[in-house]
Amino acid sequence: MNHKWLTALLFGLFLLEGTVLQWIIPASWQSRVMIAPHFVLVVVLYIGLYVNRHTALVYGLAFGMLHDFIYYSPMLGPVSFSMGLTGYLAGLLHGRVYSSIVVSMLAIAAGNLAFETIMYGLYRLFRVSHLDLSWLFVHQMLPSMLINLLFALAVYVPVRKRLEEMQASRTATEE
Amino acid sequence: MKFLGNKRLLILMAGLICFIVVMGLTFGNRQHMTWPEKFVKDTIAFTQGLLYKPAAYIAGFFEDMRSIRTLYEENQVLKQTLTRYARDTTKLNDLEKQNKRLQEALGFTERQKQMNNYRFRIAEVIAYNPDRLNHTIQINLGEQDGIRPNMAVMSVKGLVGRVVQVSSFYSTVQLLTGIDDTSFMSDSAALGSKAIAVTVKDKEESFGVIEKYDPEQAALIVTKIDPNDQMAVGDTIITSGRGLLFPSGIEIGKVVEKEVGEFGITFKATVEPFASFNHLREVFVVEVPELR
Repeated sequence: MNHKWLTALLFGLFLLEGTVLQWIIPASWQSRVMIAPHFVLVVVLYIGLYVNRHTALVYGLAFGMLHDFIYYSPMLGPVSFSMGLTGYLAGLLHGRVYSSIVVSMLAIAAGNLAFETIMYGLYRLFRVSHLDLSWLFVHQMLPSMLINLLFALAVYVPVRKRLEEMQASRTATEE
Repeated sequence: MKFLGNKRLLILMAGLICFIVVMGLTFGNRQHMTWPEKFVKDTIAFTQGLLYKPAAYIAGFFEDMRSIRTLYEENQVLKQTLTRYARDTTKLNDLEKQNKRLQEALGFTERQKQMNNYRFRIAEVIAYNPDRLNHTIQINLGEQDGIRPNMAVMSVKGLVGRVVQVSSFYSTVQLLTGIDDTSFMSDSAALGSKAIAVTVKDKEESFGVIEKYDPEQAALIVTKIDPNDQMAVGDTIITSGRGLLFPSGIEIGKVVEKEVGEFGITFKATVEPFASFNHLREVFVVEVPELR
């Protein structure tokens, strides 16, 4: 029952994002530079990289939608859409590139930036946000990416192990 | 192309269209939630509260440890404030009695009398929005407790924001940092950010409008100030209540700069907010009798 385990993990991270992490991250990092912890996204990207793209897509869409439901935003769907899409894109790398830790980290960094950029793009499209992209990039996207990368590095070994077991059992049952 | 076969491209495009439609449909009217939304939000908000409170408690403990050195001085200042408070209370009682008598003499209606009788409801913060594009927090008072959208929310230091969305037991507050009047959202009637009418403490004839928050300076921008206005650097900005949405007299911040506005007709001022918007634990929702 690996999916149960994975859902529980993602749900736990989802809860942590809005609550405990807001206290762990120092206040100065939330005013001068704004750090947005997206740990759910990191795990979704891992799923894409080590399980497959469809699973990542489904988890990304589901937990993105949950985020849209819980946290107020002008419309439903942007988080769901961008998280699903980046998960899927990360899934395209699965089996295509040699997966070392460096490549995984690069993929997760790129995924984080892509996620934030898609979100920003959607907000610009609906004329919700008027912030300057370059300012946002330096003050928000880059620092959040680094923090998320740190988290990704911390959980790399256990998560990869579990996900690859999951992948192995899945291919075994398919054959 | 190998990555995107015809069928896949089709599905991707269909998904994209689907999402744009959903976003377009829900855009701008999320103030009143549908029941599945409410249900999910209330359930999860409860769990978040379980996590946020102990985290705040532990983090608060370490913050207290750090501030232990300044405690003595703070105590001194507080004692002084307390004596002043006692003096002010007697004065206030006198004035209130007088005010009541005068109101009765002038034949005020019950509604007029109740107009400035604000109720301060304390609420605990249970979560922050982790993405930094929407500056919102969740508090544990909701529709059942009489909270309605557009109520003002303040901390002990000053105004922090406005209720934007309520579910049965929890509600969402947009922080002042989320104010952006250039946003399209302010056009659609109910949602997005709203400008706040402000005035200067002790110079109530002053008038200005807080229209946006400037993240680069971490300050609020007050616009539409009359060129002959007495507002000066160092003044305390309070809500004016003229917008009839917010109660009057809530402190917002201090003017740090005043200059000619964009078109040269009016002035604009930069205001440093009193309240801090991070690590909030308790906030007060101000219930204005009229709104109910």
